Formats: sequence, structure tokens, C-alpha cells
Amino acid sequence: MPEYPIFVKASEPIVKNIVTTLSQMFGRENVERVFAGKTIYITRGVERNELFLVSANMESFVSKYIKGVMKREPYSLGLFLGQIVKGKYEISMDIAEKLFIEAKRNAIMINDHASALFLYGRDIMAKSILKMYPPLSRIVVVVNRFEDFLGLCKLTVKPKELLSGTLKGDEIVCLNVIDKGWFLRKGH
Amino acid sequence: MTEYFQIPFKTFKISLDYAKPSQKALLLAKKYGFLPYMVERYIKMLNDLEEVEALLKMTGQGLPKSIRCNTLKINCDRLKERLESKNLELREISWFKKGFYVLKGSEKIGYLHEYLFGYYFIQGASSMIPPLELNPSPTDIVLDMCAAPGGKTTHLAELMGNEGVIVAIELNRERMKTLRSNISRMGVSNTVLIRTDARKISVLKEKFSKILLDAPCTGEGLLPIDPTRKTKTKLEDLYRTASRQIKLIKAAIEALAPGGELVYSTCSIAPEENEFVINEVLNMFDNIKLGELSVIPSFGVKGFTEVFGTRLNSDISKCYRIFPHKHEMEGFFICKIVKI
Repeated sequence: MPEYPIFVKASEPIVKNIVTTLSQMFGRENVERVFAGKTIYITRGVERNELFLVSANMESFVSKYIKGVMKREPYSLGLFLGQIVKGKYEISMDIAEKLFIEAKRNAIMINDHASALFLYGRDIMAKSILKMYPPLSRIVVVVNRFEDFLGLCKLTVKPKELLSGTLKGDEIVCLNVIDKGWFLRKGH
Repeated sequence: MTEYFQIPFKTFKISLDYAKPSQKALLLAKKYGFLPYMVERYIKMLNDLEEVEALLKMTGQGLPKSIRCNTLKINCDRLKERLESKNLELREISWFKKGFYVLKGSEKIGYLHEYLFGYYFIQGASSMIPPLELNPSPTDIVLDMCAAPGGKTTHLAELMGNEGVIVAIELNRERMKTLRSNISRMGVSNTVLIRTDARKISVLKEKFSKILLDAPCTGEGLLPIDPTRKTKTKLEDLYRTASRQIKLIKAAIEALAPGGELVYSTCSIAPEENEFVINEVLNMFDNIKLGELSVIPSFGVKGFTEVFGTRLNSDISKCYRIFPHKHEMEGFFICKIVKI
């Protein structure tokens, strides 16, 4: 296996998978607006298949000069979209934050105490939720009361149950998937 | 002084006698714990013993921390309001509205939520100047030659509104990871990161409209925050660093498109790493000239055109220097080269 990944254009099925997943979460219109004129690249030859959204200018420069003349592969480029793990697309915070700003959907707003805990990797209880931005998917964006993007969590209950407001306060309703505390704890 | 190492400047003569310490330099060096040759140079550069002592005294005294607001993610008034509500005291940097000195609460700035959200970058005030002087537009193809940890890269991206292309180069693996994390944290999406030796970029002849070369240096401008610099750099180390800087700036000039602009900066106040390097490339290339700077002239000090007994190109007065004892910032040097 080579030390460095090779960046190639993502295949049609992969692009479709990503666009469909993101559209379900944030709406097709919003995804199309953010993705307009851009190409999805994927890394090959390494364990993790990372995905990047690349502008036309950047794509042309990289292909002509970085790959063509320098004979180098980038380390990363454009906007990090996430990765494919065991054939499944895992969304990045970078694109989720961008799409939430556009769409204002598929998110929950949590109180200050829960926000602080969430940024340390903790899960979310029903009573911490101040507001919801329906429709909700399985993976939802978590924001604080200023609508700052905190990360992503995975619902443990059906969106319908959450929206009904009938759950017990102390019940864990969303499991931390990734949060911005990651930048201090780990980073890329 | 015997010349026991190679001087990298081939186009003009330097006598190393300038670094031979005088009696006064020896006394001051002993008093403040510096290498004597450094003090001798400060005496010759500043030509004022009171100023020299002011510079020496500043060592290890620290400087006010500063942050740069990231308008890709937040309005700066809003950020100021939020940080002040967390008991931080901020003062706007006089020459840059998006920069703030943190006068109170600076111990917290590395782990506040606003930091995690990418609403600001922690960086010295001097480091905010080079991107402002390069002033890239959304249509530029920009090269950032020694990019990690990304303070200047993310600043360039902000100035470009996240449009255009920035090719950011870093050789060190660990520093590259930090760069990538910062790019992501700050919401930047117009960069291509490449892990390579920046000198190799010269193969991309005339491909960049703007280049930032914040060159690796001895860090002689960091005396106020890092007292180890008092004894860290011997004269031969200084010249070795200058040799590397010449190689980097030559590569940059080759990669710069005609009409393009290159900003060269270092966090060093040493003329050997600055004016001498610029003088060398001005002598080597007949298709470059020095450009006017727009931000730093209102407070900085003009570059030397004669120093240590060596007369340099008179245009070097267009370059500027920040002295820590005069400006309460890290020492810095900035110069703009325009390709004809």
C-alpha cells in the first residue's frame, strides 16, 4: 500500500450515494447549491477513502500542474466531505456545518450545560433539547442557543418520537458522533 | 574574525568583522545573557545605546496575545461582544480592524468554544501584516510556501472570500496535520495542501499571481516571548538560515507570474536574513523590482540600505521592519517583490 493517497474523481455510484445521503439530511436544493460547479474527489491506495469537494479552478490547477508537472499528489484539497468506511458514507463536520447554514434543517438546539458536555464527547438527553429543526434524519446537527455548530449526533429514538415531546427528560436521545472538541482532543 | 563558514551572498561582499564584539557589547551581553556578537549587531543597527538596552531588556518580558477574527464564520463585532461577555478584555489593533489584542483573559483563548468554532485564530499581531500586504483577490492563484500552522493561509483565504486557489506547502508531517486541522476549523475550502520541500515549487514556472513566503528563520524577532533566542543562534547558524532563505526566495521568484507579487517575511530582525537576502536576489534577477507596501509604512521602520559596513540597493528602504521594543509586537521584516 503506498504511503500517500492518490486523488481521483469519485465514481458515479459514490457521488450518487453522497448526494442522496446529504439531500435526505439537508434537502436536495441546498446540496445542489453548495455542490454547483464542483467535483467530488476521493483518495485511493490508502486505508481510508476520504472525500473532497473541489472547485473547477482548483481541479484544473491540480490536474495540470500539481499532478501533471510536479508529479505530486495533494495532501488534501477543497472542502472535506467525509469518508467512506466499509462502503458507507460518513459525513464530515465541515460539510454538515455548511449545509446547516444553508438549510436550517435536520438539527437540534441544546442548552448551555448540554453544549459544554457535548463538546467533551458526551451524549444528549431529551431535556437538554431547546428546539428542533425538522425534518430530522438519523444523524442530526447539534447547535447551541446561538446556532453555533457543535457537531453531529445519532438519534437513538425515532425522529417522530423526539418531535412528539413525550420522552423522559433523562433519557439519552442522541449519541455523540463527532464534536468540535475534536480539534483540541485529536485533530486531523 | 576568521571566515570559517560559507557566506551565501555571492553578488556583494561582506566583511564578518562587523560581528566582532566591542567592549561595550561584551559588557551588555554579559549583563543581559546574550551572545556578544548579537549585541554588537544591535549596537550597529540601532546606533543608540538606550535603544539597544530597551531591546535587550524586553527579552522574555512577553507581549500581549492577539487574535484575528475570522469573517468567513462570524461578524467581528459579534465575536468581540461574545468574548467580552466571557470576561476577556480586547483592544482593536490600530491598523487592522479584524485583529484584537487580548488584554485580559488571554490564558483562556486556546480553549474557548469560539476558538473551537473557528471564529478566531491566535496569532501575533505582526503575523497579520504579510497577508494584508499581499492582498489577494478571489481570482488569484496564490502560493503559500511555508504554510503551517496556517495563520497566514487562513487569513489569505478570508481575504479571497474562500474563492480562487491557494496552494499551501508544508514539509513537516506533524505540522501538516496541524495545518489541515486549522484549515478545517476556520471553514476554509479554497486550499490545496501539498507536503513537499517548498524549493521544488520552482518547476511551476510563472504559475502564481501572488506568493507569500514567510520564510523559516532564526526567530530573532521572538526575543520578547522566547528568551532562549539570546544564545540559540550562532553567526554560522544565521548564515546557514540565510542560505536556505535565498534558495526559497529564488524558487518563489521562478514560480511567480509576470506582473505577480511576492511578499517575503520573516520573524527575525536580523539584516542577514532580510535586507541581505533581498539585496542578493535584486542583484541576481533583472526581472524583479521592489513594490510599495501599504499597511506597515504607517508604523514600521524602513529597511536598511547600509548596515554593518555594507551598502545595499537603495530600494530596500521600501521594505519594513517591526522592532519588539518599539512596536510591542514580535520583531518582523516584510518586503514586496514585483515581477516585471
